[in-house]
Amino acid sequence: MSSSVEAITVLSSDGDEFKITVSAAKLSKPLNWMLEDVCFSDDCDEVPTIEVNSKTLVKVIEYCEKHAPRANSGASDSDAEELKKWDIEFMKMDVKDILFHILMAANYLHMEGLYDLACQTAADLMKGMTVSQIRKIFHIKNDFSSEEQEQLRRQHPGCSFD
Amino acid sequence: MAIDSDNPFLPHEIITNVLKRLPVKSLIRFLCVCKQWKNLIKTRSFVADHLQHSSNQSPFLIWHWNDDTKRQHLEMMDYKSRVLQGLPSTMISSRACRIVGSSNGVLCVQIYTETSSLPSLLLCNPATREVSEVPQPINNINGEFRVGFGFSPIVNDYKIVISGATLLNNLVEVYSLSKRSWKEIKVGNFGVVEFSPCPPVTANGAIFWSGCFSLEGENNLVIGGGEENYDWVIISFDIAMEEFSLISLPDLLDFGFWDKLTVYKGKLAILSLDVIGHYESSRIDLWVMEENIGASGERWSWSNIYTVSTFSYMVPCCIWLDEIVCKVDNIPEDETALYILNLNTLELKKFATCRRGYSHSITSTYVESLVPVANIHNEKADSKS
Repeated sequence: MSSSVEAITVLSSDGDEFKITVSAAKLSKPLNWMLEDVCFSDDCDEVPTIEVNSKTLVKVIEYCEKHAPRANSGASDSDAEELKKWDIEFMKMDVKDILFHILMAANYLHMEGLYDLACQTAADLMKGMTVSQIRKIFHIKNDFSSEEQEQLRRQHPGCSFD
Repeated sequence: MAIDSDNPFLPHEIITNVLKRLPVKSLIRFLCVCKQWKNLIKTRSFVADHLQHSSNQSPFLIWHWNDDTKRQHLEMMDYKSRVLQGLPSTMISSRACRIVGSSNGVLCVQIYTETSSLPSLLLCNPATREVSEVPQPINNINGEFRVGFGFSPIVNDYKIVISGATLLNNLVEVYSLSKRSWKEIKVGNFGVVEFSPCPPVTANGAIFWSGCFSLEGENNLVIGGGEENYDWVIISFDIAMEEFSLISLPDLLDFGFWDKLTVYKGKLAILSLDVIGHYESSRIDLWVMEENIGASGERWSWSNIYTVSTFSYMVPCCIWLDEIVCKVDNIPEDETALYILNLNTLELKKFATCRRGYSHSITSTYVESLVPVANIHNEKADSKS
């Protein structure tokens, strides 16, 4: 890649263009591989597509830009504290609407930090939910027969079908 | 699962990664979501993933005590919130008992019985509420016995070891949770070695007791009986190899009755107590054992990593991350209070009290897990479905 490039342009799956700085893109292994590819040299005008929708990609890039300075240089404890608070604010989002997309994107882009954060956020949101709420957000149908439900209830008094 | 344009289909890998972060209580509830989730939550690999995640979190403190009305109290404290939360004590026993050990979310509980030669042991998982009675050992032990419990990652098995108060051949049996059976083992010749009645600790695939080693060969040991004809020693049991060995205590430590074995950062440690003045205050030392490989010739070495002086007299019980759990007897009130003392800030906080003189046990290494202790019944039921 050309060392003069400071930001790259990528396309979302919806076809929108996004700019991401080189240091931020380094947080993702696949993006990092793309950086090493020739298509980011100055004389190349091919724009790579990232299989993530625009709404999600905005959030992913926001995360990368925030975390890049720390990932690249290390940070003091106070920075780490600040970043933790920022992560909590950043993750205040709707489960169905965007969190699941962030999970998919972080997994696809091999972004360990964001993936762990999104998994933990999803778990924290889910832990107090009822079984019906879980079925609703995951679009799952109850496939137990009434005999099977009865058997499960007997084995695990803590389980519930509501 | 249906695929929805607004709601992506989450692959199995992501679902697993999210679910492994949930508390056991939620997972038990979510067994009913659908068959796919039920099967996932019950697989061995998921149980192991969940345990690994749980083990990276701060462990809980579990405190059990018997009160004078023969009621059992079982309480658990979270490191962050510091709130004692009651667990159904009937789960472990309605009779007087104590926690022998804790490993990967499984507690081994010894129930006190009238006939001491018949040990009554339970394995329980407080998170799943599962309890299993351990069958009787092959032989009767006439007289006092000692019990230890632990896990070895090498053989991926939980074992209970039971021995008479003196470590002798033909008196030691080992129970394997995976085989669900007892077997007798040979112990080798160590001379006369006696276990102290303190509960053992477990770390790194071994169980450790404090004990005494007779300096006069075959003579009976009389611990604390005036003449010092014994040396304190640590009795170690390798869970995978099923072998005992003796470990020397730190040279500079004058081990005594009030000194406790504990586990600090996954290593065997000792909390030693020095009484200052006429029980005005205490000095507590934390010794940690390193296992050396070759080099210096000695297999073990000890270092004294903390010395704490307290403002009043207190007896250390165990280490909980960077805190020492201590107890203080309040004679006028006829109660025993439990405190946590921070090693770094020396901040002292009382967290519980119980009637003085009643039996209690504490474990500071409890983590929530789905590890099954007994589900023979469940396995049968599962194979049908």
